[in-house]
Amino acid sequence: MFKNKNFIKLLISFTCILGYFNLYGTILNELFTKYLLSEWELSMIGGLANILALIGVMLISILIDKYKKYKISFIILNAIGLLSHIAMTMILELSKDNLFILTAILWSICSISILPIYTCSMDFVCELTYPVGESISGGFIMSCTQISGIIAVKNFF
Amino acid sequence: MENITEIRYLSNLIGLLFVIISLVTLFFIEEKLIRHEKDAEGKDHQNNHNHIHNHLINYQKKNNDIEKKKKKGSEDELLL
Repeated sequence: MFKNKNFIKLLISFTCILGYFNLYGTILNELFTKYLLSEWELSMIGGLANILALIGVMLISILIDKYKKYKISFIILNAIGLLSHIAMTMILELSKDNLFILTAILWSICSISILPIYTCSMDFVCELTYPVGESISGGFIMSCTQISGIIAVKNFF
Repeated sequence: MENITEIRYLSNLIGLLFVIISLVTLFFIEEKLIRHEKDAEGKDHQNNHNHIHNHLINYQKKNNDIEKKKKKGSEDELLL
Protein backbone atom coordinates (compact mmCIF):
# COMPACT_ATOMS: atom_id res chain seq x y z
CA MET A 1 0.00 0.00 0.00
CA PHE A 2 2.80 2.46 0.94
CA LYS A 3 4.78 1.66 -2.23
CA ASN A 4 1.86 2.91 -4.28
CA LYS A 5 2.71 6.53 -5.17
CA ASN A 6 -0.86 7.34 -6.07
CA PHE A 7 -1.99 6.22 -2.64
CA ILE A 8 0.57 8.49 -0.95
CA LYS A 9 -0.55 11.48 -3.06
CA LEU A 10 -4.16 10.69 -2.32
CA LEU A 11 -3.36 10.36 1.36
CA ILE A 12 -1.76 13.84 1.42
CA SER A 13 -4.64 15.36 -0.51
CA PHE A 14 -7.44 13.80 1.53
CA THR A 15 -5.65 14.36 4.81
CA CYS A 16 -5.47 18.08 4.01
CA ILE A 17 -9.00 18.58 2.70
CA LEU A 18 -10.76 16.42 5.26
CA GLY A 19 -8.50 17.75 8.02
CA TYR A 20 -9.63 21.22 6.96
CA PHE A 21 -13.27 20.14 7.15
CA ASN A 22 -12.74 18.58 10.57
CA LEU A 23 -10.98 21.75 11.73
CA TYR A 24 -13.80 24.01 10.59
CA GLY A 25 -16.46 21.65 11.95
CA THR A 26 -14.80 21.96 15.35
CA ILE A 27 -13.94 25.66 15.46
CA LEU A 28 -16.94 27.02 13.56
CA ASN A 29 -18.75 28.16 16.68
CA GLU A 30 -15.61 29.69 18.20
CA LEU A 31 -14.61 31.39 14.95
CA PHE A 32 -17.99 32.89 14.07
CA THR A 33 -18.45 34.19 17.61
CA LYS A 34 -15.37 36.33 16.94
CA TYR A 35 -17.29 37.97 14.09
CA LEU A 36 -20.10 38.92 16.50
CA LEU A 37 -22.72 36.49 15.19
CA SER A 38 -25.35 35.51 17.78
CA GLU A 39 -25.93 31.98 19.14
CA TRP A 40 -29.18 31.62 17.15
CA GLU A 41 -27.44 32.68 13.94
CA LEU A 42 -24.58 30.25 14.55
CA SER A 43 -26.91 27.31 15.09
CA MET A 44 -28.93 28.26 12.02
CA ILE A 45 -25.77 28.39 9.87
CA GLY A 46 -24.68 24.95 11.14
CA GLY A 47 -28.13 23.38 10.76
CA LEU A 48 -28.74 24.78 7.27
CA ALA A 49 -25.30 23.68 6.09
CA ASN A 50 -25.86 20.17 7.49
CA ILE A 51 -29.25 19.71 5.80
CA LEU A 52 -28.07 21.04 2.43
CA ALA A 53 -24.86 19.01 2.63
CA LEU A 54 -26.89 15.84 3.27
CA ILE A 55 -28.93 16.40 0.12
CA GLY A 56 -25.84 17.39 -1.86
CA VAL A 57 -23.79 14.42 -0.76
CA MET A 58 -26.55 12.02 -1.83
CA LEU A 59 -26.84 13.48 -5.32
CA ILE A 60 -23.11 14.03 -5.94
CA SER A 61 -22.16 10.59 -4.60
CA ILE A 62 -24.65 8.94 -6.96
CA LEU A 63 -23.19 10.90 -9.90
CA ILE A 64 -19.58 10.07 -8.98
CA ASP A 65 -20.41 6.40 -8.53
CA LYS A 66 -22.24 6.28 -11.85
CA TYR A 67 -19.59 7.94 -14.03
CA LYS A 68 -16.49 6.80 -12.07
CA LYS A 69 -14.72 10.12 -12.74
CA TYR A 70 -13.14 10.48 -9.34
CA LYS A 71 -10.19 12.75 -10.06
CA ILE A 72 -11.97 15.44 -12.05
CA SER A 73 -14.95 15.43 -9.65
CA PHE A 74 -12.67 15.82 -6.64
CA ILE A 75 -10.75 18.64 -8.33
CA ILE A 76 -13.98 20.49 -9.16
CA LEU A 77 -15.42 19.97 -5.66
CA ASN A 78 -12.11 21.00 -4.09
CA ALA A 79 -11.95 24.15 -6.24
CA ILE A 80 -15.54 25.07 -5.28
CA GLY A 81 -14.63 24.51 -1.62
CA LEU A 82 -11.56 26.73 -1.99
CA LEU A 83 -13.46 29.53 -3.72
CA SER A 84 -16.32 29.45 -1.21
CA HIS A 85 -13.78 29.45 1.63
CA ILE A 86 -11.99 32.51 0.21
CA ALA A 87 -15.33 34.27 -0.37
CA MET A 88 -16.48 33.43 3.17
CA THR A 89 -13.23 34.76 4.63
CA MET A 90 -13.49 37.98 2.64
CA ILE A 91 -17.12 38.50 3.61
CA LEU A 92 -16.45 37.79 7.27
CA GLU A 93 -13.62 40.30 7.26
CA LEU A 94 -15.11 43.02 5.08
CA SER A 95 -18.90 42.83 5.11
CA LYS A 96 -20.98 44.31 7.88
CA ASP A 97 -24.49 43.95 6.38
CA ASN A 98 -26.16 40.59 5.64
CA LEU A 99 -23.28 38.81 7.33
CA PHE A 100 -25.53 35.99 8.57
CA ILE A 101 -27.19 35.19 5.21
CA LEU A 102 -23.98 35.39 3.19
CA THR A 103 -22.03 33.29 5.67
CA ALA A 104 -24.83 30.68 5.79
CA ILE A 105 -24.90 30.44 1.97
CA LEU A 106 -21.12 30.22 1.60
CA TRP A 107 -20.62 27.74 4.42
CA SER A 108 -23.43 25.61 2.92
CA ILE A 109 -21.71 25.65 -0.48
CA CYS A 110 -18.43 24.73 1.20
CA SER A 111 -20.08 21.81 3.04
CA ILE A 112 -21.90 20.60 -0.08
CA SER A 113 -18.64 20.55 -2.04
CA ILE A 114 -16.41 18.94 0.59
CA LEU A 115 -18.71 16.34 2.18
CA PRO A 116 -18.98 14.18 -1.01
CA ILE A 117 -15.16 13.99 -1.00
CA TYR A 118 -15.46 12.53 2.48
CA THR A 119 -17.76 9.73 1.38
CA CYS A 120 -16.40 8.99 -2.11
CA SER A 121 -12.75 9.04 -1.00
CA MET A 122 -13.23 5.55 0.49
CA ASP A 123 -14.27 4.21 -2.89
CA PHE A 124 -11.40 5.92 -4.73
CA VAL A 125 -8.83 4.58 -2.26
CA CYS A 126 -10.17 1.05 -2.79
CA GLU A 127 -9.87 1.51 -6.55
CA LEU A 128 -6.24 2.64 -6.31
CA THR A 129 -5.07 0.04 -3.79
CA TYR A 130 -7.13 -2.87 -5.10
CA PRO A 131 -5.65 -6.06 -3.65
CA VAL A 132 -5.45 -4.37 -0.24
CA GLY A 133 -8.64 -4.74 1.80
CA GLU A 134 -11.15 -1.91 1.74
CA SER A 135 -11.25 -1.61 5.50
CA ILE A 136 -7.44 -1.25 5.74
CA SER A 137 -6.99 1.45 3.08
CA GLY A 138 -10.20 3.33 3.96
CA GLY A 139 -9.57 3.06 7.67
CA PHE A 140 -6.01 4.33 7.31
CA ILE A 141 -7.15 7.37 5.31
CA MET A 142 -9.89 8.16 7.83
CA SER A 143 -7.54 7.88 10.79
CA CYS A 144 -5.03 10.20 9.06
CA THR A 145 -7.75 12.80 8.44
CA GLN A 146 -8.76 12.67 12.11
CA ILE A 147 -5.12 13.11 13.18
CA SER A 148 -4.63 16.07 10.85
CA GLY A 149 -7.87 17.58 12.21
CA ILE A 150 -6.60 17.18 15.76
CA ILE A 151 -3.25 18.83 14.88
CA ALA A 152 -4.99 21.73 13.13
CA VAL A 153 -7.39 22.29 16.04
CA LYS A 154 -4.47 22.10 18.48
CA ASN A 155 -2.70 24.80 16.44
CA PHE A 156 -5.84 26.93 16.45
CA PHE A 157 -6.27 26.82 20.21
CA MET B 1 -8.38 42.69 20.26
CA GLU B 2 -5.09 41.82 18.60
CA ASN B 3 -5.44 38.24 19.84
CA ILE B 4 -8.87 37.86 18.23
CA THR B 5 -7.60 39.12 14.88
CA GLU B 6 -4.63 36.76 15.10
CA ILE B 7 -6.96 33.79 15.67
CA ARG B 8 -9.13 34.82 12.73
CA TYR B 9 -6.23 35.14 10.34
CA LEU B 10 -4.49 32.02 11.59
CA SER B 11 -7.54 29.78 11.25
CA ASN B 12 -8.42 31.11 7.81
CA LEU B 13 -4.80 30.80 6.71
CA ILE B 14 -4.57 27.18 7.92
CA GLY B 15 -7.83 26.34 6.16
CA LEU B 16 -6.69 27.98 2.94
CA LEU B 17 -3.32 26.25 3.06
CA PHE B 18 -4.95 22.86 3.60
CA VAL B 19 -7.32 23.24 0.68
CA ILE B 20 -4.60 24.54 -1.67
CA ILE B 21 -2.23 21.65 -0.82
CA SER B 22 -5.07 19.19 -1.35
CA LEU B 23 -6.02 20.72 -4.71
CA VAL B 24 -2.42 20.78 -6.00
CA THR B 25 -1.78 17.17 -4.93
CA LEU B 26 -4.97 16.00 -6.61
CA PHE B 27 -3.60 17.14 -9.98
CA PHE B 28 -0.67 14.71 -9.72
CA ILE B 29 -2.73 11.61 -8.98
CA GLU B 30 -3.03 9.05 -11.76
CA GLU B 31 -6.59 7.83 -11.95
CA LYS B 32 -6.17 4.04 -12.13
CA LEU B 33 -9.39 2.20 -11.37
CA ILE B 34 -7.71 -1.16 -10.67
CA ARG B 35 -10.67 -2.74 -8.88
CA HIS B 36 -13.08 -1.65 -11.60
CA GLU B 37 -10.80 -3.03 -14.35
CA LYS B 38 -10.32 -6.33 -12.51
CA ASP B 39 -14.08 -6.66 -12.09
CA ALA B 40 -14.56 -6.06 -15.80
CA GLU B 41 -11.85 -8.65 -16.60
CA GLY B 42 -13.52 -11.11 -14.26
CA LYS B 43 -16.86 -10.59 -15.97
CA ASP B 44 -15.25 -11.11 -19.41
CA HIS B 45 -13.59 -14.28 -18.18
CA GLN B 46 -16.89 -15.51 -16.76
CA ASN B 47 -18.66 -14.70 -20.03
CA ASN B 48 -16.04 -16.63 -22.02
CA HIS B 49 -16.34 -19.54 -19.62
CA ASN B 50 -20.14 -19.51 -19.95
CA HIS B 51 -19.84 -19.35 -23.74
CA ILE B 52 -17.55 -22.41 -23.87
CA HIS B 53 -19.76 -24.23 -21.39
CA ASN B 54 -22.88 -23.55 -23.49
CA HIS B 55 -21.04 -24.63 -26.63
CA LEU B 56 -20.06 -27.95 -25.00
CA ILE B 57 -23.63 -28.58 -23.82
CA ASN B 58 -24.98 -27.91 -27.32
CA TYR B 59 -22.35 -30.23 -28.82
CA GLN B 60 -23.28 -32.96 -26.37
CA LYS B 61 -26.99 -32.52 -27.16
CA LYS B 62 -26.28 -32.79 -30.88
CA ASN B 63 -24.23 -35.94 -30.32
CA ASN B 64 -27.00 -37.45 -28.23
CA ASP B 65 -29.58 -36.64 -30.92
CA ILE B 66 -27.42 -38.25 -33.62
CA GLU B 67 -26.96 -41.37 -31.49
CA LYS B 68 -30.70 -41.56 -30.81
CA LYS B 69 -31.41 -41.26 -34.54
CA LYS B 70 -28.86 -43.96 -35.29
CA LYS B 71 -30.45 -46.25 -32.68
CA LYS B 72 -33.92 -45.57 -34.07
CA GLY B 73 -32.64 -46.23 -37.58
CA SER B 74 -31.13 -49.57 -36.60
CA GLU B 75 -34.31 -50.59 -34.71
CA ASP B 76 -36.45 -49.71 -37.78
CA GLU B 77 -34.13 -51.76 -39.99
CA LEU B 78 -34.48 -54.72 -37.62
CA LEU B 79 -38.27 -54.40 -37.60
CA LEU B 80 -38.36 -54.32 -41.37
